[in-house]
Amino acid sequence: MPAEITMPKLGLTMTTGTIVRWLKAPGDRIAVGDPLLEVSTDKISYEVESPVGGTLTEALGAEGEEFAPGAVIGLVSDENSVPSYEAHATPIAALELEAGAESGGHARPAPERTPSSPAARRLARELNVELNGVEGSGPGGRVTLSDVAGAAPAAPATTSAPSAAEPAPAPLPDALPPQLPATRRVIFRRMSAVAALPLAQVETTAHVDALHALIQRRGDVGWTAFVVFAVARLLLDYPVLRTDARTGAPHPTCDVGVAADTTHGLVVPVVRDAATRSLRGIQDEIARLAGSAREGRLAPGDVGEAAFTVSNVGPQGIERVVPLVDPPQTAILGVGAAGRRPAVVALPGSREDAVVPAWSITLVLSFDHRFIDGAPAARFLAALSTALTDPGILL
Amino acid sequence: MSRTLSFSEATLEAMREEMRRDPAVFLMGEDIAKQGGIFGQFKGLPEEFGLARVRDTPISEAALVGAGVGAALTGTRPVVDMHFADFITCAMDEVVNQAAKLRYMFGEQCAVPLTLRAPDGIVKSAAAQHSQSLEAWFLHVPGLEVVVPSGPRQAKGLLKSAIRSDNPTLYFEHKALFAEKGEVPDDADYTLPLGKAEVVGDGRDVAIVTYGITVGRALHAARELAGEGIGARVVDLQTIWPLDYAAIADAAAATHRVVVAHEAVRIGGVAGEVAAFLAEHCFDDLDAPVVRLGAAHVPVPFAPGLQEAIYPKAPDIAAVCRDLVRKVR
Repeated sequence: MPAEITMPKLGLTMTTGTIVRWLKAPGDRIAVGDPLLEVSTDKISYEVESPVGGTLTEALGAEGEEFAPGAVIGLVSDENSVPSYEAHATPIAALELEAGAESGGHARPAPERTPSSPAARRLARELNVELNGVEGSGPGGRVTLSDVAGAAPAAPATTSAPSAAEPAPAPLPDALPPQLPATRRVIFRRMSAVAALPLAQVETTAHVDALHALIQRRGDVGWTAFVVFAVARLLLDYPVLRTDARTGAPHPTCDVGVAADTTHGLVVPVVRDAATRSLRGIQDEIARLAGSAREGRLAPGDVGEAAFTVSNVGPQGIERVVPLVDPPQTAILGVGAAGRRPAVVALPGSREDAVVPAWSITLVLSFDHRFIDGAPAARFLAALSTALTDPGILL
Repeated sequence: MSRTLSFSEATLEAMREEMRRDPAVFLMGEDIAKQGGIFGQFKGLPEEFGLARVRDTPISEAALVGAGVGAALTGTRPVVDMHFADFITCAMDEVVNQAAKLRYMFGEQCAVPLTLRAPDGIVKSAAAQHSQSLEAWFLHVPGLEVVVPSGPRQAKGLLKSAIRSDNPTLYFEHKALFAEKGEVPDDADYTLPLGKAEVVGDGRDVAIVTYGITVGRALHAARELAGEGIGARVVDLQTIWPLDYAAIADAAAATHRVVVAHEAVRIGGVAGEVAAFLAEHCFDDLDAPVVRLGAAHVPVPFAPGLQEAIYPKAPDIAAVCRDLVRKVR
């Protein structure tokens, strides 16, 4: 097998290299490490050395011609020689020295893979920072946590709302505050992005005496589980509430996020494909996710990529919450605490009305008006209210 | 309330309290009754408890530990003094194949509540056969608990827990710590749980995971670093089995840089287990390589100058922390 001579990749930014001139001609005997040809990029010129000994059989690229890195530009037959590991290793070291010298010793060309610490890579994933563009301050140019934090871009503009009549809301400061703990950075970025969204809300109060009795009687499911159960089934009928802002099309499955408070702040684990799960199955999954969230052991598949989110402030005894949409989701439901409140009812067998105590719950649907109109949002919320009032309807 | 005690006084107090508390606790070793132990750690015990419970034995570690295992199987709680931890090699079969295994092999029908006290570490040119720290060997043997106290308070609390434990426990006490003084709680029922690390400081720049005598060296380094504006926290493991993995993970999550230090030989040491755990389970928390500090891979030299050169001290620990924080390594 003849050894292939390829256009080297000299640094991350190199897209093409030009053959300056061949130093050997076809038929020449070649020793390992012999310079074969000279190539140049927009930054440096460089001699390509033979990784093997043998005979140059073909010089495929003509002088002045441009090739992408990796393109085969010559062949050396390896007769009477065995390519050695050392022979392959030499050009890499040489490359680094050469490039350093040619560019005035300013910087070595970055190796193929930017060296970076694991913690820096995790933060880069969380903040959507492209590691290759970050200058590393660690040994050997290693990108460290502080480098990524410093390189985090301003929050992406997530909206270009057409013909927005009202003035744009004042932008939130989106540079990462330096003292902000790492666990808040993701929330900071996401909520900075939300500030630009045209959010609207619809709100209603559902009368839930029957559901309250059902939950009391069963004892094995909670309010959140039932709301998620109802929401997931309604999301089947109202795909627009599942709209993914990245595509403008509905999220394919009814994956419902459930906002959870932990010692590290807000996390939103997701009940996958909730429309196919039983009520009890949803309860168990929420319990599992809540446990993992508390212990900080959520798996990657447990978070992200939800179609819709439910945020229940009932456990805190709060009556009403107006939640913020978490892009690329386009809608979120805020659920208040169930409680006994005055309700106006018709007295049976009479034309009179009466005010009586009744179980009720406040529901606020917050949505991105670019994708969802008020009327479908209202219909969805009304259907949800009906389902919570008369849970049998879902069966 | 607490008093100032030396490390050896603290262990003596632990012995006395446990022997009063439980008549099944007794003590065997070479020169412990007549001489009171080479570090005075058994002084006065024969007078209070009699020679049946404080027994001098012939010079045979195999017989001594073998007797301890047998006694433990019959329901007593023997404390066996190894004189020097180095001599445990003469009783390896008794420790590794008997003490560690029996509770498992007999399906928990028996227990081996044996405590081996093993003075270890480098001190005053005791040289190659009397200076070793061998705890890592026993970390590798399932069935043993391995305790390494760092000061008088820890010495007392951990020794009492070791004696009360139903498992065979190796209690490595550093010879250079015996004279060390510190505050010890008054409470006669004071103990420290096995398997629980103690974290000192809340520095967020670097964590020093360590145990035994090196804890003091690490705390010294941490104070030095604090003066330079570098926040270090020190994790005193206290027992290396059970190993408090959660405390190690927490330290990595809080600081992103971890140094593991001990006086035992670095290669094949406890720090290797800690570093491997961090690589396997805390990879994403690390912003720099985990650095191990330990003794050079040489027999401990007799020559005082050479002896002092081979193991990590406070300035060595501080220098490594500084390098990590300043991104030199």
